[in-house]
Amino acid sequence: MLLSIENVTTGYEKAQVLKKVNINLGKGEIVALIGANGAGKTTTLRCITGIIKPWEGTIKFNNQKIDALESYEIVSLGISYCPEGRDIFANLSVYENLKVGSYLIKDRREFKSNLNQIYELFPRLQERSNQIAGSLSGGEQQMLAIGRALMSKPSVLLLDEPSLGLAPILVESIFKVIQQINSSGTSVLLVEQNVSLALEFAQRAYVLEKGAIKLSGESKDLRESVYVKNSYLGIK
Amino acid sequence: MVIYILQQLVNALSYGSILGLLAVGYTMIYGILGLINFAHGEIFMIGAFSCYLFTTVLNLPWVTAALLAIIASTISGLLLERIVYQPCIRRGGSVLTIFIVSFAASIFIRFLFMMFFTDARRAFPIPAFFEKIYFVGGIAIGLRDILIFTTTILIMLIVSYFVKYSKLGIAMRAVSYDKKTASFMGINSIRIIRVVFVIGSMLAGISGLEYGLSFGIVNPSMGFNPGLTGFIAAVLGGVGNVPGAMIGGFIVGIGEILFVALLPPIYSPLRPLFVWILLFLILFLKPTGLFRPNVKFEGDWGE
Amino acid sequence: MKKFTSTAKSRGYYIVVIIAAIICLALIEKNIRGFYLGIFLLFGINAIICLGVTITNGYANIFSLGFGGIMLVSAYVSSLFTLPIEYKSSFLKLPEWLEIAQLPFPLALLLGATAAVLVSIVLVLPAFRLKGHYFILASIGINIVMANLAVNSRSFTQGPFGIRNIPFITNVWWVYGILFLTVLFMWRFTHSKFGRAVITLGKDQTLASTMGIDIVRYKIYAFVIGGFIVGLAGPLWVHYIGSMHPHVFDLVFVFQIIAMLVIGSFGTISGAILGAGIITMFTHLARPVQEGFKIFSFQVPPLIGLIQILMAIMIILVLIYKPEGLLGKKEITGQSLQSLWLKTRGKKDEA
Repeated sequence: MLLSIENVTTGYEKAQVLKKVNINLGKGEIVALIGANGAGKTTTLRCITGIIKPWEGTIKFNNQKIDALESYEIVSLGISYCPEGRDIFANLSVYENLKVGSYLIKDRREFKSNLNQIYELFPRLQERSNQIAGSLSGGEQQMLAIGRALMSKPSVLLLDEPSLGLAPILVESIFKVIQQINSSGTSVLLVEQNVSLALEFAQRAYVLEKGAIKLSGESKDLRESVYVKNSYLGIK
Repeated sequence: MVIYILQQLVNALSYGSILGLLAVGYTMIYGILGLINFAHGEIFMIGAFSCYLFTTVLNLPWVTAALLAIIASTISGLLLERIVYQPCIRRGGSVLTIFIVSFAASIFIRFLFMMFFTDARRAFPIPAFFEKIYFVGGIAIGLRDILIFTTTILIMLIVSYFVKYSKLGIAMRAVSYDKKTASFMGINSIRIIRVVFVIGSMLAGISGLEYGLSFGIVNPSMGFNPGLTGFIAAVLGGVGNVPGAMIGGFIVGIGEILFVALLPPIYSPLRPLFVWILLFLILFLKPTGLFRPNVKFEGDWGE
Repeated sequence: MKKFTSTAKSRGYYIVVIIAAIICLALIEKNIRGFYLGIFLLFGINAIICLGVTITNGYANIFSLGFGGIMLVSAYVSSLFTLPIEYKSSFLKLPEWLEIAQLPFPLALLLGATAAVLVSIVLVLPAFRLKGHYFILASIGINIVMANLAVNSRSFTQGPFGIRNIPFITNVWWVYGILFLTVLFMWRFTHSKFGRAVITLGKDQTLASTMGIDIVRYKIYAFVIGGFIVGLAGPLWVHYIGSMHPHVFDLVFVFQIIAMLVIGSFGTISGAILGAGIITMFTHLARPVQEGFKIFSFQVPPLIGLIQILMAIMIILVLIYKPEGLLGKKEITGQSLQSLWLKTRGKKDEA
């Protein structure tokens, strides 16, 4: 297992959010974390990236415990995070955003080749490379956020609600890109509210409800599950 | 009359340079931390005063003393950051708390020096070759003015280039905009903040040396007024905006000099007023300063 | 045991306390002089200043450092009406009506406070346009601008030399009378609808406006009331010292007041008074140390500035380790004293 969350219980201040959560991400997988608002999906990602610490349990990456590390240390191990709401640096240009993304890359040539790869994935970004990121459209910002997260060639990409606020056509193309990224070696842990989309692109999924894992398994099985159909796919 | 004004402008070049460097230091620190380093003016003082101490007490040659002075001010800035600001930030201090802490820190440094050295004004050591003066069309242009001005412009170009194009510079701008997201890029914000303090304090120290060369007099309480004026210049230029701060410094410097030069002498004591009125005017017309600020949240504590 | 509510019994307690306080003040006035009387008076005046600043900076959360300039104005204005005429005609160049004006202290005091109010109104208006740090900068500017104006209005203020021969009117009754009234006012204020609106405003502006509180109006009120109170303290101060100059309420002075509030607390009455007490005592008792002293027959030279240095260190330590101040958000009230008393006697409070 590349990334594993083992029996993690955590929350904010006095409010508990996650309860004994177990999630695994294997090499080369796309795994989805689905659930309603407030179920704890974003909290899970925040726990992985070190913003909040687990009260109980542990998080391992490549069999190394990472739950006591600082965020920037976790990232340097090869985990990239694309938060909900994109959080691009609106005061920097597209190019500069991507450059920040490759902060950990020491080699100039490696940076240049990564940059070219991202521009291939997202030609729109190359067109706007000198534009101030704050002036991009929602879809372009999402592309920038993902591209930026990829600049460090991470082994794991954590995506929080990439489809949020985007037109369906854009969503399709972004998910196609996610597939491309995955086939070139990056494992993806995807938090998504759009359940059918998530189950279409992920191999496995976990259903999170009120901070606990309710169901988990292969996507094709979950798609057929009566529970998932009723609660999340609106099929009676 | 024209000659007189031109002469004043030449003097203003040095003064504007000094203020500009101070302003840039302020604006970098404000940009990255959202905190006014009230003690910045005292670091400026440490730069000037320690150079004086190194030459008179330790009898070092001027160049060595100057370099040591810059090191002294850099270390002071670092100590300040590590001992005072970092603990506050780590404990989640509000912006207000940090402001009061910086106010207290500035009082501490100033009175510490006053206690050990008394506030008597001392003559700043000026090496002989700095005293050369050229005459161009009836205007006296000192070698010092030229050196100060060119050094400052050079420093400014280097710093601007660094902030805009280098990896560290882009990281700095990312951290000032959004510290948390920057950490997701693998950036250790604490290290970056330290780098900013180092650069800012170095600039303050250099500014102190320039002041000493220009005005020739140093004393422990010399940091307060230039510090405040430098901060005003930074605000004028838009907080967090490095080139803006430099320009702001020159505007204030030239403005002050012209104010005294053009108005009848009875108005001269009102010179400090001019700076404040300028500030009030600009804040009234354009509350965020002349140029685009570089921070996400505009200094608002209405949380 | 009944709680300390507004019953006749508790009113009785308060009246006893007040009578005891008056007797104490009379005793103090009769017997204590000089150095210790000075500490006592300055403590009271500092407490008044702190209370005034608490309303503006604490309750209404408008962090302003401009009260130094406001006090400067109130002090100058009031003394112009109490200075002996011979002094005014010899040293100042005033318009005739002002030169011969001689008002009893209460009127002069009120005039001074009114001037303070006027300055406050002018100062608070930009607060709406300027945010956070910008406003603080502007408020610092007010101090410097006022001092500069004072230095340059020789005919009114004798410029940098300042004015002397201000009559020594301040005594325990004035200071503690006004302090008592201020505390009473603040107590009623925090329990009134008006006061609670201001406090809500300070805590969360958006919440306050959704509750229908007119932000602009209440902010102005809070600022002006705070200005009035510190405007009372200014004349009290200079009529104790007997002289003043443009830098008497400079940024170092402002710093000391801020130190009091940092140590006490920024949003409570007892915090303001406690902080004022601690710092006043510290500054005065430490003064002889500053002059130089002997340890084991080793003569330590005068260390001018030691007081400020120590205060700065204190502020920094408090802000790092206990940013809420020593008292935090709690007030010392009859109730809290009662429960403290019960606790020490080992009984449980029937809360």
